Amino acid sequence: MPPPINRLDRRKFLVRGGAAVAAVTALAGLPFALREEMTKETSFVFFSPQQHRTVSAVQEHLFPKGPDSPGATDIGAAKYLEWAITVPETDPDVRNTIVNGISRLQDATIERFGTEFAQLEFMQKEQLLRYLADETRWGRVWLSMVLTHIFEALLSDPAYGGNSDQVGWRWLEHQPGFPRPPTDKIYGKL
Amino acid sequence: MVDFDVCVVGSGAGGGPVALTLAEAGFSVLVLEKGPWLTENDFYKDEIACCRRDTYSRNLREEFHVVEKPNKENEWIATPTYEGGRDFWNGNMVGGSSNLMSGFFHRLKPKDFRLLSEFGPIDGANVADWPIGYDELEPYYAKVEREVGISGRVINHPNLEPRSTNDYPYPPTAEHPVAEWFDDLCQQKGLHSIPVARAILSRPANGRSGCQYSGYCGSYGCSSGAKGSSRAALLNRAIASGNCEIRPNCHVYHLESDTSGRVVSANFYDVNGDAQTVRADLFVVACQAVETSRLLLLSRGPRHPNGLANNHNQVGKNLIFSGGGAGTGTFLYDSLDPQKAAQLKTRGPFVNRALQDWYYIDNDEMGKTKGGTIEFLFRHPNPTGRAIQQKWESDRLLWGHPLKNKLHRYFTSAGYLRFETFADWLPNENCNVTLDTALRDKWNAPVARIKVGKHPHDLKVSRYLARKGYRMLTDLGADKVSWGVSSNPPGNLMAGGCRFGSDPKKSVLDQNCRAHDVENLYVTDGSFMPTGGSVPHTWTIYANAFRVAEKMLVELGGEKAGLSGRTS
Repeated sequence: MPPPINRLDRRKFLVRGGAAVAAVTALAGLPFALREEMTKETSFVFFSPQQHRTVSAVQEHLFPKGPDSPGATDIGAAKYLEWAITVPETDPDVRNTIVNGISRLQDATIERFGTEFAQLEFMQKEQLLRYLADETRWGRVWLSMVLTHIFEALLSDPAYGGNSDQVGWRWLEHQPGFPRPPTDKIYGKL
Repeated sequence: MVDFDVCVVGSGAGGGPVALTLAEAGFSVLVLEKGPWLTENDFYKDEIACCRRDTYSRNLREEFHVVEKPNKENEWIATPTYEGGRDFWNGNMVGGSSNLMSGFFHRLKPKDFRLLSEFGPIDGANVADWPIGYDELEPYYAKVEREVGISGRVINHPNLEPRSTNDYPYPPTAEHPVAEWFDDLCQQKGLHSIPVARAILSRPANGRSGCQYSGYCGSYGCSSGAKGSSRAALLNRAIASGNCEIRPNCHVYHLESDTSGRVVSANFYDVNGDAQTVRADLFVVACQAVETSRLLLLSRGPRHPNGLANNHNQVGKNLIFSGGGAGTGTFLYDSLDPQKAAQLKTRGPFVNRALQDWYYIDNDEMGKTKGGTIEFLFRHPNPTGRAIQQKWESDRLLWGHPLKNKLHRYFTSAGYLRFETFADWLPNENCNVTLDTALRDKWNAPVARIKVGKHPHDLKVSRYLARKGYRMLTDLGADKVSWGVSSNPPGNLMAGGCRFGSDPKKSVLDQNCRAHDVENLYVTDGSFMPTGGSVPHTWTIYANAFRVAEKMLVELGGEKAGLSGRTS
């Protein structure tokens, strides 16, 4: 029987969430030459400041910090997501779906509330995201994809920039395998 | 003038034994492998690289398959794998998918070689006896135990196949405490708990390390070299002979044949994408079932207008997989006594247990029929894949603290034992490989179209076995067991497509796996199998490839002069 391979790719999302038609945005074509810089922990090269604020706020809402558990910010979920959609081998459809989703959420928030997502109250965020997940195909696909990347950030090797200090593994009492990958032998560098 | 005595296309379990045997006998061997040459130094326990991205397979935008299967209305729907959600690449690299196997190794049983004679025809199935018997393959099963390195312990049970040696050359890999639970239960129930042999070295040998018990095996490349991949166990030694060259990143797209029908050269794209040609006396195709059939169909020539070895339109027919079901038992730690809970949390060693009490079935419910194997193992430890499954509550996305609570509960409150069943996938008219008439890969060649029709009998057998597996997990103390059977083919357990047989009108290969109508072409991967047995195929593929390599050696006139005393 096949081992449990759950590759992240758009096909799974399409199967589950219906067809997501993603137009290519200008952002999707940003230069990958800056990839080396992107691996630095502190700077976001691909996401604009506003995109970063939006996506971080969404991730923290979906995966909030608890009294004894890490939240999306603690695990470096935004930084991980940026890596995941900019590594050159990434399926362009995944990249486009993520980036377009941020734009659509930004538009929807401005239209309804006149301000950006990160500024909303908790219940406003909840109602908006719940509406998008339950009532729109693109929202369902996009939020599912954002969640998947949160799980990857939570449970992948810290060499990828998420799971800071193995906080995800420790929280879920997960025992990693050995040898673990050095940063120069991770996906995209093999 | 030829460049090499032998050219082998594909370096997995079908190619490795041939390369080793012939190179050690002094023949010059070239192995062309489509994927890269990764070694122990490239394999880490990295779920992202291993299992969540396409590190070991092809970019599906560039190289893909078209899969044709029936929908609920029984209409055949064809979907390219770049849209369909699953693919049929199983490890494109030197050593092939044997790098990524779990290495649960079972032999076929004597009756598996004569399924038609033993159990009679089944309507809608194209069952055939093999042209050889178990006795002919047995010495090579034993050879694989030594050459690839199989660890295990033989116990006597009613369905034990005849053996020429008393036991495995390597002692069993370390066993998980749960194996004892399983043994005790089997004893109570009068069942025969079989210690499963593994193609994993339990101690260092032949320059390879023993297993390090990292707990991550299937789907992962082995960092220690203990796993018996074709690369670690065979090809490294073939190279050491000085007679074998491996060229990675070389994609063979056509085998050229002359007016006499013989293959004269392999045409391939090298690592730079440049077209190259190599000439050899003998050609061996071992690209795994689907791509082997595809390469032959693509290789038209003056005497082979429908594709190489396809003058009777048999290439690609009778593709088989392994039929089966699976189930997962949830064992809540709170429901177990503390000692058992602690045992269940042990990581590293293997459960390594299987049941073959229903390998043959003869009762009122099922009649007399072939059954199969039930394998027991832990759920794969990959955490991300398991976490993702928690994000849906019915059909609704879950998030926030409810999601986190569910996640935490899932990971910390229970252990998960699984069973997987292996039954025949009966060959039938609706399971085959053809060339797609519309879609082409990045090399502008038609992609393989895989039709994956499953015979209803297989589902019936799988369901019967899965119910037994369900009962075992329940009796072991599982709080909940979810299980099911599927008509979807497991893409990593494929065989057939170039079945061997004595009648050229009904088979592609003769009993030595040489093409009936191409005198210097052999196929040594799982394509030759008319039926697959009710176990994973890999041991049989290895064994048959060693067998065929010896036939080729005879064909080549024995060992090359000056090499006496060199044996494989």
